[in-house]
Amino acid sequence: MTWLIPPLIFFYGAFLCLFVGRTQRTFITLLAPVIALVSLLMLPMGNMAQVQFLGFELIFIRLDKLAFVFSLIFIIAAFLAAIYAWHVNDKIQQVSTLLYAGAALGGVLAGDLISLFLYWEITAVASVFLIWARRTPAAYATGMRYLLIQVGSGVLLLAGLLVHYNDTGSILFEHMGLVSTGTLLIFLAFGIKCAFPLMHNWLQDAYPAATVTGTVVLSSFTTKMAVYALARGYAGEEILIYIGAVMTLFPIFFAEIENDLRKVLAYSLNNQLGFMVVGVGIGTELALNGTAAHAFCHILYKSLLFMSVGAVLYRTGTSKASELGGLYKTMPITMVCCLVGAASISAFPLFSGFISKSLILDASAKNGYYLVWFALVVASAGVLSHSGIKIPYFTFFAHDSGKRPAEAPMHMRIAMIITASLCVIIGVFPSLLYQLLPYDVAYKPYTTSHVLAQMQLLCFALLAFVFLMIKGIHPPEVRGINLDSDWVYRKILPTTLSAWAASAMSVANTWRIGLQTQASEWIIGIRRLSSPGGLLAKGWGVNSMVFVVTLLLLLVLFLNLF
Amino acid sequence: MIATQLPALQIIIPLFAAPIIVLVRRSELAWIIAVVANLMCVLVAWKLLGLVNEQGIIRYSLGGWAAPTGIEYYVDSVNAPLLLLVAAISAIVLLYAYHSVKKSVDSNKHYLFYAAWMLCLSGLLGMLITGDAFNVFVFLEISSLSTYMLIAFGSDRRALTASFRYLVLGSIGASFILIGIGFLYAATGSLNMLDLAQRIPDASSERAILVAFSFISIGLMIKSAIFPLHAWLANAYHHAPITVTAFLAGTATKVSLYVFLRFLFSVFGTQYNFEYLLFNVILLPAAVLGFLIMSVVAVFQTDLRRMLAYSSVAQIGYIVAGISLATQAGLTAGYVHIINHAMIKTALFMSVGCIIYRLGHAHRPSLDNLIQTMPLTCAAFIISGLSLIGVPLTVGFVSKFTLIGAAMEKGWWMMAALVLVSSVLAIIYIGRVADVMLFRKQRLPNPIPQGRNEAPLSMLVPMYGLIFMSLYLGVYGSKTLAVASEAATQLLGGFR
Amino acid sequence: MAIVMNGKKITAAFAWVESPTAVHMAIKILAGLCALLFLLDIIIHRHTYVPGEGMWGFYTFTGFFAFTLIVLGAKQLRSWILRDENYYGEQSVDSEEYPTSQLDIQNEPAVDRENDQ
Repeated sequence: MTWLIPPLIFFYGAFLCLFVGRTQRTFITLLAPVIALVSLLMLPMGNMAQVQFLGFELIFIRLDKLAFVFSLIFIIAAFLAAIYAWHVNDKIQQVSTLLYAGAALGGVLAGDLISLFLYWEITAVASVFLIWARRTPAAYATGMRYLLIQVGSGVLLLAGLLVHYNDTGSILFEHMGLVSTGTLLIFLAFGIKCAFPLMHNWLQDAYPAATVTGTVVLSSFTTKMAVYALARGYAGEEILIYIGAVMTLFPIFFAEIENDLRKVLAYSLNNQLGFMVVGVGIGTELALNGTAAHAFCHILYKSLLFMSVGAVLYRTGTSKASELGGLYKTMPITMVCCLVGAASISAFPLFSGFISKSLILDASAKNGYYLVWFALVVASAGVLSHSGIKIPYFTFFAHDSGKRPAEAPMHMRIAMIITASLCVIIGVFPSLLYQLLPYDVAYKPYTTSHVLAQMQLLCFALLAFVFLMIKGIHPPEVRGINLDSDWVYRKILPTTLSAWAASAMSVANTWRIGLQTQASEWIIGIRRLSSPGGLLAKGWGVNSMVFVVTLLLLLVLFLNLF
Repeated sequence: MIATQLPALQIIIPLFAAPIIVLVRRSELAWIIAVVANLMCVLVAWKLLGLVNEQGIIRYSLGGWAAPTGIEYYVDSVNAPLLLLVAAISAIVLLYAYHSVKKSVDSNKHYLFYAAWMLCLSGLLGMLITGDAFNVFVFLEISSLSTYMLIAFGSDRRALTASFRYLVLGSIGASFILIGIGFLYAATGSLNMLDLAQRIPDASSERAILVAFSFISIGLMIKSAIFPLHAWLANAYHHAPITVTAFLAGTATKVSLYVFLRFLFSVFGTQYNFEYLLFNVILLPAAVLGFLIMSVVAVFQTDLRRMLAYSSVAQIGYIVAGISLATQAGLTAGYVHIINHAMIKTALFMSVGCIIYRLGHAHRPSLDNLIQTMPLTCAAFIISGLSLIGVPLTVGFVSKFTLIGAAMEKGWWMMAALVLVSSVLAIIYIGRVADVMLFRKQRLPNPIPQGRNEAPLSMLVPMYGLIFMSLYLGVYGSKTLAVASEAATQLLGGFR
Repeated sequence: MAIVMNGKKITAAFAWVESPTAVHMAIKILAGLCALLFLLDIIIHRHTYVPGEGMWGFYTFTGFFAFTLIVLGAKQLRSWILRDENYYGEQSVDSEEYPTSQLDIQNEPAVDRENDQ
């Protein structure tokens, strides 16, 4: 059984894909999640697949209800993405999708920090190929940035786990809390992958750069694995509540003015993560249930939204709002699916977002975090603005762009319809999802007051939209880039560095050798020394070698004799 | 009967194979004899390791002359695994060498090449097995002289200068060792290592011991290519035939490091405070500077052989860093990296050998999209490269993990951090090669011809054998660690 | 309304949404719904946890003003951070087209439709 654990099944699939033709690859990507699901359902609760490694006991499978619900949705997401990607004939993408999904699943099932680290890094390396598969220089550069940050998160995790091990002598991945340097480092590692504010920008930078299908895959795994890791290790850590609240709010503004719809969705993803992080921060059974449920629903409707925008991109060649509009005429099914996704993410009653988000909102209210609760309510209105209205409205309605694309291909429609159905089914029959949640908490989402409150919030927000459109106050979609924190490393840093280099050139001859030139001279110097033929890298002559030997011998003799 | 003579057989088999090869002269036959002799060596080493595990230390008096007068061979848990490692790596590279040597060495000199190889192997094994200080010097000379010859077989005329420079430096190192042994003899009147270890603490002249210690240390630092005494290595590795490089990278420096360990810990013993002085003032800075500077240098190299050569010096820095911690954990880390690095670097040089076999060069910027033509070779390079970086589930990870753990245990956080920094540098230099191999579009004036053009199977099979072995030991890293930890205990405990 | 694609005349299932009457009707329905929800707030007592949540029309005001403030805030933000698409130069996917070789673009220009009518 150890050799048939769910993550390995994905890895086997990836390995097989290396050697077979297109049709077989497509079937493998579809079959792997199915077999993995069977394997997951057959696994008993508790620890399994324990391996001795360097004197540590690694636990590759630790199955409990929290891990189960995340594993289940990961497998479902991998399956839906495989249907959606039926047309893809690209070995790199198919292999990396399987590796990536398997590694994310492994991360969720990992019972110790070392195997978590292992999977943490595999997700980073495997997923970057979904960006590189776009095969443009810009995608390559974006992928490099993404990879650096992701691997950096892994390095932090490694450092943290070493320090943590040094402190406690344990590598178990269980509740840790922010108590020491080690746990802080691990927390930051999780935070990067979870896109905490100011560590978030890799997400908006990279996801829109991936391929049509790649973005759908990317949107499901990395961040939710991080949410799971936080829920496992840091549940009830109060600072998470405030981090989460900020996360729900600030991406709204960016999403509102972003032109690339896939980037809008990336911002919206960030905002949804905020809800989950708040749930982790509150840490009560109700709140953790909310986080798990919200992650579950979120993966579905976010995939659905990325799928519909992806289908539009697939048919029109662009995902920019300013270039789109009026597509409902020829892509009605995509439009309806997109609307279902929009309604779900905006948490309309009878859609999946409603039954998961309200758990977190109620938890925050019940535990007295009133300000945070209010922030979440405002953010809910904000979600409606960018994901609920902006995505479907500017793509399928608004002004007619004159584009008459054909309806999405059959397999994409099937994937979207299944996903949309799941969103509605969960929304209508919430108990289906609730019974999977980690804790047994009786919760009824459909109370009169609750439905009324949510409908009031959403309808008046819609009213505000209509009002702003009629008055012409609503900002139009324009082409352009909106700066975000990546500005620091994409603009300031390169410009400063090149400015340094430039000043180094001009100033080197004069007396003004300041700090800047010093730095660049160092770099140039290292380069000169180390390049082939440089002092450090050339074949030293016998004389200089003997000189060094003599010097060292004298030093050693001196040290020893005096 | 044979079992009791195993220590002698370990040396005698390759030593006698050499003259037989010279007499035979036919190149194929020479290769076959070398391979057979080498495989027998592996078998003997395997048996010896089993014996050591069963009954502990083996002491063998050569020719029946009892120690300390006669020469004694001494096998314990420190050198038995290394005997197997050296013999096995030599065997694997020899199997791999056939085609490569055929292409790069003049066909009427093949017998000399293999004879030199056998001499070199017996020298290396002798340095490992002997328990006599002067005998170490003799075997060191045997291996060094044959190494100079092997390097000079390089197709390029620069191989001659490289060999000559190594000869000068190597001779200086060897004579330092001889001087040191002379002083030891003068001070204690003995050459047997066990005897020395007993006599040194109450030797008449401590000054003489100190001088001996200094000379032997410097001499062995030269032979082990510890920064900054590494300068001979880059040219030698670059210009030697690539099979020789692969062989030397896995064995020569490692054996010298072993002798270094033996002298430092077993013969001189750790109770002397001058050793701590050596550790903290010379060895530790040398190690840390070595792995940092040499990794930077490796980043800027364009020839793969040179890049790997500098990377070797950097990796030796890790080993020395582990040694200079002088704790159980530190020695374990250093020792395990001796084994692991030998496997990694040999595999890397073997894959470079495949590239050179087909392309005639190993110039990084000209390897555009090589994965199309030589997928297996590229995969081998990248897998081994990942191991060099220290990706989990590889042997490199096992080494770095224990090294960092050892540094942190002693509270040397700075060193742990610097090891990580240097790992990032390894990511860069391996990544640059992988980037060219995998992603770079063909944009050369005379691109590599399209279509599969993989190295011959006789090269690929031994290479992958080694890689699978190292992957296995990466996954089951606790096995090598147990061996290393045993060796560390033995070293710290002195001769028993 | 019929539109032409690939030479075939097809009927858009949702063509009605574009007619001005329908748009007006939709707005009216929304306004009516809002009024209804607003009035329901008087009749139905909402179960509350947070002080002030029970206030009459709390969610209606929050919904309307939160939305408006977000849009206005975002508009202000845009005036600060909007840059040209080529701002980051070659290294940015914003300045490039999605490589069409990986897509299956089936996009009939609108001109056909005009010709048909």
